[in-house]
Amino acid sequence: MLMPYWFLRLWARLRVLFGGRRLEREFDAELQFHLDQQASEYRRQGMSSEEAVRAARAALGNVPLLREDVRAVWRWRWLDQLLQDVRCGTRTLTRSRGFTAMSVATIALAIGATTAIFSVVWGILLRPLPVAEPERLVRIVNIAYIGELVELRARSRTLDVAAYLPPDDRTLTGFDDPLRLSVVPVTGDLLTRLGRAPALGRGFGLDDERPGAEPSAILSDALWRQRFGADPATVGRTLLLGGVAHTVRGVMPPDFEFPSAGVDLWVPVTVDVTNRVGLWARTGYLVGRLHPGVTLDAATSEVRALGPQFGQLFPWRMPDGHGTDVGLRTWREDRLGEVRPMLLLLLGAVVAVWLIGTVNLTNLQQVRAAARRRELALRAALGAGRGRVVRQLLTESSLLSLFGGAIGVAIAYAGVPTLVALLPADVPRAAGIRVNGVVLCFAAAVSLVTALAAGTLPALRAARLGQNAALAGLRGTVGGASGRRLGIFVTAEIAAAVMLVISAALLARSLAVQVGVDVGFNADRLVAAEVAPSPVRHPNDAVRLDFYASLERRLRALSFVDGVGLSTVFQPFGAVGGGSVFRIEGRPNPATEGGEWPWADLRTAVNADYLRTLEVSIIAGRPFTEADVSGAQRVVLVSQRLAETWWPDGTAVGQRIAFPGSERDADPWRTVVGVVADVRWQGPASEGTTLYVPLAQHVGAIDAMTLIVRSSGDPTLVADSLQAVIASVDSETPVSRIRAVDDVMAQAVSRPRFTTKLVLGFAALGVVLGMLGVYGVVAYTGARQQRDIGIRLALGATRANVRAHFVRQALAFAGVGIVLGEIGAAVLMSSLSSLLFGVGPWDPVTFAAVPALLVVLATVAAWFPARRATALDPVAVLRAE
Amino acid sequence: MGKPTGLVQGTLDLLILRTIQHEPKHGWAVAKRIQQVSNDVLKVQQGSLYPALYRLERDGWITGRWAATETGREAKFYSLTSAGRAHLQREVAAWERLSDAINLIIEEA
Repeated sequence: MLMPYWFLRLWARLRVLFGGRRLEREFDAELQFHLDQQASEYRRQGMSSEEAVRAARAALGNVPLLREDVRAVWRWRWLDQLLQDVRCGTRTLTRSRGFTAMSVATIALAIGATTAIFSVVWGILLRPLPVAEPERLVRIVNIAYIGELVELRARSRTLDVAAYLPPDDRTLTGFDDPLRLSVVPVTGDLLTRLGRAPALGRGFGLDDERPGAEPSAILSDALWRQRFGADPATVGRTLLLGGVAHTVRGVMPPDFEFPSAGVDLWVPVTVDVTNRVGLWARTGYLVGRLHPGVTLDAATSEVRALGPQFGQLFPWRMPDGHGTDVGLRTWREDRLGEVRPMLLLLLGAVVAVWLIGTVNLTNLQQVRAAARRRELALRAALGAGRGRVVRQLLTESSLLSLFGGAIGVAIAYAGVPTLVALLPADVPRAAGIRVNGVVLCFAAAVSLVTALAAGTLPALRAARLGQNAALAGLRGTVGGASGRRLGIFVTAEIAAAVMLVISAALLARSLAVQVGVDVGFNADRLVAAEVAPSPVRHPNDAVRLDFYASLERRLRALSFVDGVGLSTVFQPFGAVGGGSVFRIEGRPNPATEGGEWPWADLRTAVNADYLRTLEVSIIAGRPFTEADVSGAQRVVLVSQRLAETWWPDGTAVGQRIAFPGSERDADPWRTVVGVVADVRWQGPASEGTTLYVPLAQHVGAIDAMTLIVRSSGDPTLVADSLQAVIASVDSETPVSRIRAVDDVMAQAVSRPRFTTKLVLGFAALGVVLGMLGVYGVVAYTGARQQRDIGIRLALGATRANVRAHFVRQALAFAGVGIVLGEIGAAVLMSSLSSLLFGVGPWDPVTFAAVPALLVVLATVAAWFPARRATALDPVAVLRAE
Repeated sequence: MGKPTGLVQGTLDLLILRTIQHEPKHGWAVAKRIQQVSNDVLKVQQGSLYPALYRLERDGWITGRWAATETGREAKFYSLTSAGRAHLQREVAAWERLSDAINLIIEEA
């Protein structure tokens, strides 16, 4: 029978699995045959029939017991050997405590860190999105006007289109304190398109979008619990929101954080197709659900065909090419695309740490296998096959890994809440991060991979060593050129460490640049608060201006207040929108003649004291004064970069500009009276082009404003006095989001700060583990080459020579590691360059300094074991042979 | 696993492999043969043979096939596989080493 060996084994095993009964019948038949044969032999020897049968049974032995034994052969041998190996492994491991502790600690650290980061990555990036069929949900990008929403709804054959507007603060009154709430207006069909429904009550319908529809609102779970005591009867109640009665339609489930955490209410967007200006001036975020069976490509080509037609529909002339860059983005990309680089970098960093840990473990096991040569040789001599020895050693390394992995999971379990607390506030889905079943499976898988990765090579090698030693009669050193493999360990560790340190250094440098950027004003000791005078008591702009004027006066009277600023938009490092186009007198009007619109990142109305309070420097001309009131000449301030772009000859002051929408005014022009410094509203990377108009000359309603106070007092004291003063001016005016401005700006760099901190931590861990690894490899090589060293010393080499030889050897491998690590770091950071600011992924300083540092560290790590290895007495070593 | 056979662990395997080295045999014939050749010195209880046979079959060293005996009755005949042949050679070599070592110890003692 020419069946392959593996096939026979497999066949035998499958027969047990699937043919248990047949096998038993077969065995019975075999025994019966045996008994019959034996009995007939006894009969031939002269026994009676009965006697012969009895004797045959006796000779065979206890049949039920026999059957058990045969069954056991089939079923239990694997488990049995495993148990035996586990027992044996546990014994050996408890005997060599140092080795075990070192290995377990390494694994626990590596797996703990990996598991913790994975739970974050899973919770944010990989966990299913909380919408129905996310693969059919898309964001429509580069068109944003409500008019375009209406057009898309009418024309698209591939998409159902809904929209939501940016969050908006509104005042809830009718409770003890007026409350500012974050409100997101959504189209009537948005929840349906997302595939979500309220946990209580019902959602909006398209009817709710109609002008004149009864105002309604859906509450967040948090608001419902905190303000309404989770009372189901809240649904149907009326809320006074911004002075308007809204009926509560429903309450969303707790996991509904849309578009981000912290939203309190959703209200319907009013889509009034008769109000052309309103329709084509208001922007939002467009969301589409692909019709069943429609591919992303098909929908993309449709919107790409439709988009450019929309430019013609605006009541005013849009820039050429409007709508040509419209596109679709998958929902996952839209929600998570922005945090992905950060998370991938963290995952990469932690994998590098794990890799270093695993290499260390491999080395440790190798060292141990060499030390156990005698034991293994004995096993081989007593008939343990190579496979059996390998299996036993792998069981040992699995035990180590599983034990270390269990501690690692405990570390992750304890560490994940801290990690989540450290996460920047703007990271989505942070609330769902926990060590769950998926994370545990991941940890178990990583433990097993660790066991196999670190255990296989040493086990194979040890088994061979053992057999060689058995043949060689248990004595003698086992030499051989394993230097290269150990060198690969050094190379791998150094490469991973270099990658980690370079990444960390680049991030740290980029963070320093971001923190050091001149934002254009002094955020020190500034406290800001949102003030929204109640519309009932302050029905028009004149009354509201009076309110703000008296507020300013009273605040200024406080001894610890150095300045009081008021601005319609004040969101340093967090500005969303608020930009404006404008046109310049004497140049082609882009609205009628085409051409590029001049653009400013921010247009804001401010009080006269604003620029002085914020310490924004005046570069040319004059700041606003109390004389810039509504009847006086209309004035505007432009920031430096605007002045340089549009009046490069330095003639900005005295020029006149106008904003769109003011065409029908008798005199739309505003005179530029000064040039001031740019303020980087949208973050350290933004240009900071700004236009300021005096509050008294503001066009459009003055509603809520930001109050900014510079004070010499304690921030909490300042916050209290702010509230007290505002209450003294008008008790029904809510004050919200009182904050220290420098804290807010620090928060804006909290993501890079977080990433940098973690990667720095991993880099430090990686370097320590890596250097331990280099130490271990050199120590092991030294111990194995005792005889060589002895001979060299005996032949006249100095100890320094031999030491230098070891260090050189280690550094040669480290050099290769450095090159590989630099390439790896460059590839990694180029692909994640969105994380860098003001530093290139190929930053030469970092790429030169980090290797230098690691060469020094590796030299130190190699020198100590080299010294120990050469501290031997050559005579003694050679005698021992 | 198998009950103590009074034999050094692994020896029964070796004897079985050796017995069917040249021609396939059924269980009873293997048992009889082992008793015969060893002049009844090795009192192998007949039953203990079967777990060993099954173990060897599972490990792929031998393979069993039902065939008719001279009397026409169906019996399970065991024969060596090619892997089994190689295994037997190794086992024999190992056995010789071990018995040499034991002899050496006994002589020195």
